[in-house]
Amino acid sequence: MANKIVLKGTGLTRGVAEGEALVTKQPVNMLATYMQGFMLNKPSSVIGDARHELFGKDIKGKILIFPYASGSLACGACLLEAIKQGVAPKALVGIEMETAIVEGAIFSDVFLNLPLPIVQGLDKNPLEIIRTGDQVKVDANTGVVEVTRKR
Amino acid sequence: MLGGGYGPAVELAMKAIVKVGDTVKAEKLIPIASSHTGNAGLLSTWGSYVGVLKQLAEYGAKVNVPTSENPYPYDIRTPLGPSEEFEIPEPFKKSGQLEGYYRTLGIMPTWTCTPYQYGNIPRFGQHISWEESSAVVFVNAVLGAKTNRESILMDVLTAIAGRTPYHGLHINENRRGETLCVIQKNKLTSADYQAIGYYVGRTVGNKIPVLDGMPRDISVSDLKNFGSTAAASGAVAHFHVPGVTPEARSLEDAFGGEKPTDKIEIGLREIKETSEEMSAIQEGEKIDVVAVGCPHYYIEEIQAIAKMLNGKKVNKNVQFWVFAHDTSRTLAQKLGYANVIEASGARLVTGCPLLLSKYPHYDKMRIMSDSGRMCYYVDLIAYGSLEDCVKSAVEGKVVRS
Repeated sequence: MANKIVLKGTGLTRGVAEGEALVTKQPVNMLATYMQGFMLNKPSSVIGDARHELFGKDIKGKILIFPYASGSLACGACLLEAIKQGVAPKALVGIEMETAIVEGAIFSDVFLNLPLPIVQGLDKNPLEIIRTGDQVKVDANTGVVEVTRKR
Repeated sequence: MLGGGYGPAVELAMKAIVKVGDTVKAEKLIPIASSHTGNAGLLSTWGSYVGVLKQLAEYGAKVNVPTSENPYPYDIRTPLGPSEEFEIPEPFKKSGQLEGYYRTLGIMPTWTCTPYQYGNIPRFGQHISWEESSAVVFVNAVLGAKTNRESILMDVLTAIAGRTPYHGLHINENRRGETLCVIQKNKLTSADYQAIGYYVGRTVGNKIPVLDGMPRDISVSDLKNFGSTAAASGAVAHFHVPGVTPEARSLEDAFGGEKPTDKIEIGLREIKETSEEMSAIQEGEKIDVVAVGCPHYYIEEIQAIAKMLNGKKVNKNVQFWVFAHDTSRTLAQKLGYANVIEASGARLVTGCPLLLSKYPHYDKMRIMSDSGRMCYYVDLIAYGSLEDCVKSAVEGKVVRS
């Protein structure tokens, strides 16, 4: 018997994606995650910061639930490149994103025709409600996030 | 513009800008007077970014406003590089393609993180659209120009459209001071300012700090170095120093008539503990590189280091890199400082030490720096005053006075 929770927020981009949640209460630095892989032409999407609670976890294809993106103003361009190379998360759910990261998804939509859904400002704290491993559907067109937990 | 009347490049740029404007709930777009584009060195191997630039160039795009460009780790103007055994890291051998698109667009090859020294100088009250967090904080705080922390690519798109969404720091009410930072130490040194910057950035995050207790005679280079460090350890985009920075004639003025939302005190203990925390390499430990000039040195900073290096020899196991704005470097050559620096075994170069330290070979090196910004981004690093950096370069190990 599955348990379904529906959260309502604001869609910052467009598109719908469904996948497995990866949740962290710490900010995520996209540039630190992807930079070396892009440079060496061996794309990697594993969080390499040893101080991060998601250290060693792969964010590719996941629904990444996190407070906000930290670090450089290159984080949006970095997300754009990750989407192009197929190593990005499927969708982002955050508390309050810096514009820079959202711009990465907007660029991907406008220039590559590959939208990546981003939703924030949910009526309940997603960092408390959603657990790693939950099945999550993110609809950035409506701002609705559906969480399905297998019992 | 969105309708294609200004050509396909402007139409494409506007499409993205308008979507960003919707996301930040901007009521309108406003004209900008200049732009500065970010991390060129980093981007030359990113196919998506280069692809967008290629598309724009093929559409005949031109920047509409003066637009400067960040440095590469390696700079063809100082082909010798930072050391004799220097080899151009592989990714930068391919930067020619990206540079070609930048020239087609009309972006100026300034290759500096401090275009406000020469090449791209905004004035008070001007709306601009700049990338490079260390430059954003300088032009907002020290010059009183108005820019948000524009992201990479958004910098180029806004330059082509000549417009950016009206939100954030473009709006006067959002430029008021928020956190009162009381500095309780007299006779601040250049090294103190960076430690204070590191502490302030980490403590206030993305709020606007007001620095009470900074002296009226603080130098422009100390303001540059303070801000760039706070912009690295935090997301500081603007700050006020009462009686010094142009939007804060007084403490009351800095808060725009409102009360501070928070207050922090910074004394001897905070400065000392932060300085220690900025170093992963301890006193007496061996170093491979001394890298100064992040952000790029002003001429007076080059003069200071030339005086200290005069008659000294850098240890044969240490590479000493002094990074500067090309104009300051040219002046230093004319004034004889460059000769003094080079006679010691150090090198006065253009380029970016921070990016360089991230590349294979250099990423394993043990660095010492007078830059708080470098200390935030580099793991194997020792922080020290310029005096201590010079002494350490001679000894080949971290020396603290």
